[in-house]
Amino acid sequence: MTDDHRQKDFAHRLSRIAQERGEVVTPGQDGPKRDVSEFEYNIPRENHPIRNGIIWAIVLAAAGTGGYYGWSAVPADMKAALAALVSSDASIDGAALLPEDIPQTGTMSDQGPTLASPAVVTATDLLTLNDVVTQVSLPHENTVIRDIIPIVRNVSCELRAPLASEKIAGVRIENALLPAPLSAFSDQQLTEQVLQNIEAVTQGGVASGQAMALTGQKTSLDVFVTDTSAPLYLVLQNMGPGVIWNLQLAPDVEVAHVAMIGSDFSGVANLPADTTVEALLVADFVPPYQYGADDAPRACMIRPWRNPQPEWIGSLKTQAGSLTFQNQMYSYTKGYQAYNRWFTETLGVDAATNTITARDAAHVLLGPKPAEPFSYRSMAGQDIRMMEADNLFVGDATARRDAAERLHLDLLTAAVGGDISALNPPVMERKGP
Amino acid sequence: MRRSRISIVLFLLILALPVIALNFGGPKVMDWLTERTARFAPETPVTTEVEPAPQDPFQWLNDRPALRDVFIPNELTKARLVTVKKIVNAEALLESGEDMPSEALLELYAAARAPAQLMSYCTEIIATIGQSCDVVHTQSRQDRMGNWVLDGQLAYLPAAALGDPSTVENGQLFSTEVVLPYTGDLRPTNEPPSREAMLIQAQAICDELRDRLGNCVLSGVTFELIELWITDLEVLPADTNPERVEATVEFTVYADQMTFAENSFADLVAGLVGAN
Repeated sequence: MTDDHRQKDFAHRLSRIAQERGEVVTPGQDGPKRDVSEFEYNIPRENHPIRNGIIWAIVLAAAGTGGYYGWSAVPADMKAALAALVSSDASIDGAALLPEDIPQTGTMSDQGPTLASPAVVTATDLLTLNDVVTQVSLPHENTVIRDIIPIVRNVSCELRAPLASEKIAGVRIENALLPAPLSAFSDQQLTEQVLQNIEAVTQGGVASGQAMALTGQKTSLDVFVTDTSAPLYLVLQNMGPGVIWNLQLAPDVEVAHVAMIGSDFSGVANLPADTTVEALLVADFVPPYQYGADDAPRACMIRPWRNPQPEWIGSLKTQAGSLTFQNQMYSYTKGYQAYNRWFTETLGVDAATNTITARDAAHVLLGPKPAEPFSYRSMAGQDIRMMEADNLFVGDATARRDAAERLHLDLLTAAVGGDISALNPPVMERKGP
Repeated sequence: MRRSRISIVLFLLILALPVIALNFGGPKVMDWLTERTARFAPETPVTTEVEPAPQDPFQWLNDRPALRDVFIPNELTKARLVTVKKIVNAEALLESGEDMPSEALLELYAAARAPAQLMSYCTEIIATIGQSCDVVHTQSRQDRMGNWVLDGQLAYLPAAALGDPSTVENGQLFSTEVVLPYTGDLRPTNEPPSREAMLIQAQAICDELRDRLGNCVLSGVTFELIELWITDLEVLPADTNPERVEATVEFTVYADQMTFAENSFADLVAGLVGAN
């Protein structure tokens, strides 16, 4: 910047002359200051609004363009981190988070509660095994049972109508979290599994020896029942691998009837002698699930969907804008509506009536918390009433796995024609030039 | 006055240029900078004590993934495939004397036996265009006549020289598909001699392309089966309806894109096919 001292020097000389003449000079009384150019002497400063406007427009356009492309190039996670820095309350408002920033917890999955032993799922609060039973002896893969009593599956998708005196209660889950000492699968399941393994080799390039065998391993779940208000009509429903429902009745509880609805071969242990039982296998009436297939209500829609709840992580992700979970929760909602329609028509009550639901559970309690814990009823030495299956194995877990693998290998060998290596023949080479 | 304005404008231009260049031509600018700086990179001193690393003869191809699978001469890849189809009845899936399985298991049998059934096509490939051959993908399904349709993809290692794509400047991959012509009113019957003749015909065209352009690969040969029917619903009597076969061949070359266009390559191949 230029600083022209000539005007100041001249003013200073005038001031000194005036002082010598005896005049009183007040500093700062030089008259209004003129706005002059800093480049040329004593020339008034000119305004250039158009020029300056164009310059600023270019500068702002360049900065804006750079900013836009720069922000576009920033990775999404870095954007989220920057957004979190700017917005201090983002972490406490689920709707403000990105779907991928909402994690599943140890007890809440995308599709609802997942409560491992010793948690006991109830209608109201969460208990532990010690609150309900004593002398606990959980089942394991090698628990020795007494006998398998087959249940002939219902040929139509109907259940015995509940009596007026009976009270309907139920459990609806996807996976039971306790092991069970038996394996079962159908010939069709075996064929489908072998076909998948063959296609993994012939289409996926997987080595022949890496095929996956079907185990048919079942799981189990303890159903503690303390409701003594009326004879109970239990509806035990699941959508995942087959479940052995281990009934644990408190004193004075009466179970009149048990209806099982399962996507896989299921059974019931510790069934009272005078309790009747029936079973519906979903695959007998509903084709394998495909997206959208269960959205519309239809006859015999017995796949036991659960109604999404606001606390499910999948629901939170839906709120956060995840299209994947919007679709999934939509499927659950529509599937539940279709299932509930069949359930209500068949049993006369809503599918949510007195029903405990969870995605995964090891123990559930139907009824109030007992005043005193009652004795746990082990599966050991008990009969298991089981849906009939083409292939059913009991006994040592290793022996069961070996038996299943043998069936798998026998079928594969027969299908290939003897030599499994024919699935992936060796490269053919030209002999000679 | 004027000088000051020019100075401000120049200053702003200098300020704005990197922003505009980096945002609109960032990758090109970085490539240019990398290239320029690489020229001044100090050379690694050569010492006689260190053994030089063995040269990979296919380093040039390995550095170019788009070309590698097409031109690599010692590896079966999915860029050189012969696609075949075979239609068989359930009995033909079985060995002689083997019991017919239940209907529910036939799909399993067809899927499991498709690789062995289609391996016979490798014999024809080895006899004509291939040094080696492998069945890399099979699929089976039942048609409306109850027969089993076995689809397969066979990767092969070319027996003929492919040419040297590394000598091509401004190279670009050109591919085009043509249906091989046939003589007479009907397509050839679907038998090994017919298919072998088609493979030889395709290779001859590829050889001509290689002579002209320096390289050529038969990147795809698809044998399409054609069955003759009286109507859409009625098949001709047995033994009067031989399957016919048609071959669609894809030729791929690596040629100078400055002197060669996609259309002109298709025209060139069409001309060669017509003259062949």
